[in-house]
Amino acid sequence: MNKNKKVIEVKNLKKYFNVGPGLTLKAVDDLNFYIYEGETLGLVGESGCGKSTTGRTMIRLYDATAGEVLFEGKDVHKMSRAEHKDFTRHAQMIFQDPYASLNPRMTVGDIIGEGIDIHRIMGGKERMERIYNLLETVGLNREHASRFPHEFSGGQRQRIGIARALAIEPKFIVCDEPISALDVSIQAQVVNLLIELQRDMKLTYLFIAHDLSMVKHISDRVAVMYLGTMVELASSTELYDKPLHPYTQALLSAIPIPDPNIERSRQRVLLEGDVPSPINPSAGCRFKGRCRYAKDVCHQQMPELREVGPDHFVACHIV
Amino acid sequence: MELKHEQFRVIGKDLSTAQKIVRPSLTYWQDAWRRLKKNPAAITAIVILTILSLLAIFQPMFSKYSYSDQNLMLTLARPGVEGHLFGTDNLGRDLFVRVWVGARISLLIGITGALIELVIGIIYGGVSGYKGGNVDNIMMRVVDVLYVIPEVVMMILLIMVMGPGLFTVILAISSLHWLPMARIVRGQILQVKEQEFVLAARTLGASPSRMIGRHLIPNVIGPIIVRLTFSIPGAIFFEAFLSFIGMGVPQPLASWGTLAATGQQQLIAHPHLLLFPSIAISLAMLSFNMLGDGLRDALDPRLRK
Repeated sequence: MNKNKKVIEVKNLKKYFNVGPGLTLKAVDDLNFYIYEGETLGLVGESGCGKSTTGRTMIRLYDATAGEVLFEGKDVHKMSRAEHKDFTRHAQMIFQDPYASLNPRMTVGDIIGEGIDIHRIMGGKERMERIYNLLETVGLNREHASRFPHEFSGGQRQRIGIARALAIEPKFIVCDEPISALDVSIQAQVVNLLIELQRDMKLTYLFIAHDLSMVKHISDRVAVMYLGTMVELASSTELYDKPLHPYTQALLSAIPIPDPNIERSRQRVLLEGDVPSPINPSAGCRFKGRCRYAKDVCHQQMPELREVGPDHFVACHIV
Repeated sequence: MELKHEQFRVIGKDLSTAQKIVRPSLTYWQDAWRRLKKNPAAITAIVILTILSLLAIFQPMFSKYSYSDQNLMLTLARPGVEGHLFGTDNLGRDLFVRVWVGARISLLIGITGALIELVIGIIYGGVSGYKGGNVDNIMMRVVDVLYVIPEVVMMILLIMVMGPGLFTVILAISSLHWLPMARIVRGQILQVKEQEFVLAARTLGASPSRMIGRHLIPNVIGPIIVRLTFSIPGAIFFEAFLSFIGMGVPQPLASWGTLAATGQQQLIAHPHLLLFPSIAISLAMLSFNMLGDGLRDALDPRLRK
């Protein structure tokens, strides 16, 4: 990890969806963070909190409502057509659903080679050789290039998805829950592959997930999202040892411990109620309704993300 | 029985074959053909359609009669008389050759009509689904409005304005028939557009033409082909209907519809004049529908076995 260079920086990013007359779904509301070169930033939060939307907006699959996403200093959302095409060579994405993320009408070779074809990087024999190499990198055989996605298992498909993202040698990859659709036995395989590739190719990851123990395993720093806002951001050891935000505490207390004696006496912070709707949220802290420490100020003012320790950021009035 | 650790030994595993796939590789079309072959109704339909097409193409070439040759000494002959397999009509023309010339016209109208429908439907529905948003809204409201027009009235009006003829009949039939095709294509495109592999292609920087040509169209082609096999008999049927009410292709050209219309006038005394064209129409319609059914089953991935 190179702490001197920020590969991607998100400033006041907002993504709102119009869901009806007068109804705005604030999927992502005022996010600020950056990722260093070679770093893995874990992004966690429960379903529907805007993790995937953040990832997709960062690589311009969605247009931002407001704010900036700076990739090596340039705003992704203000790029010209040529600049954007160049950006697609450097920023890639690994998708969540290995059954939906591969075109069923294309051979695996063509799927992996698509980036090479689009950017006209190489052709003919060289291209095929590259595809074979990538297949072997992700633990498949070169014979698989002529097969179709439906012939593969979920874990194999996910590795094909990874090979596709790697084909154009990107610098930054958004991993959008790449393991949540896989069997537990396969999850470790894929995560370890991602870690290995990062080491070999100096990749930078945004790792979106809701499996906290997996995130701890792969991430250097972890960001916790709740309802479109970021509530805590710290290095993964710091966050797991000293969670400060009440939501992070609740989230971490839900991790089961693989030791029956400790597990039996484990104290859990139980959250009351459900996640409120992100449509037209009320003023104040998003978490106030479910927070047992909530005070008056939490109902009036949205807490800002502030640094409370070295590289430890929390958005909470109480802390 | 107690199992001890010593009783077990690691035999290792062969990693080189762990990822091997034994099943032969099948493309989408090979797989579809494999399933279609198992459907006897669809295969029967293909055989009947092939025979009908071959007869339509070659019979008039090799027949000793032409479709307009008259033998006024031998009008309204029964089937089989003097080499007239299906007999002759009221003007002494050989019905056998006229049925196959009629087949040419009917199949031509059916296929061209369906192709026009396909092209307009794909372009219109494709643009609507791909662009989405307001473009989609406006384009689909236009379709809704056009849907209100009764198609028989529209066809008759068009033919009255432009005068009867082969081209007019095709145009009249496809004038409104592209509407359901456009809706199907739009719906399919909307469905596929949000899939992650399309997002992946966008992430890789794919151009719109590549998105449409390589990702969207190949994934919506199944339902389109099924719809197409149902719209061919639809067009044949409408052509027959138009001819029957006297707005079809002009004499002495024959289509199955015009043959049935003339036959109908002699129904009591000479039923064979109506019988043969009707059988031909029914066979063609039935076969196209059976083929469509079979294709729907074969191309639908949800029925994949």
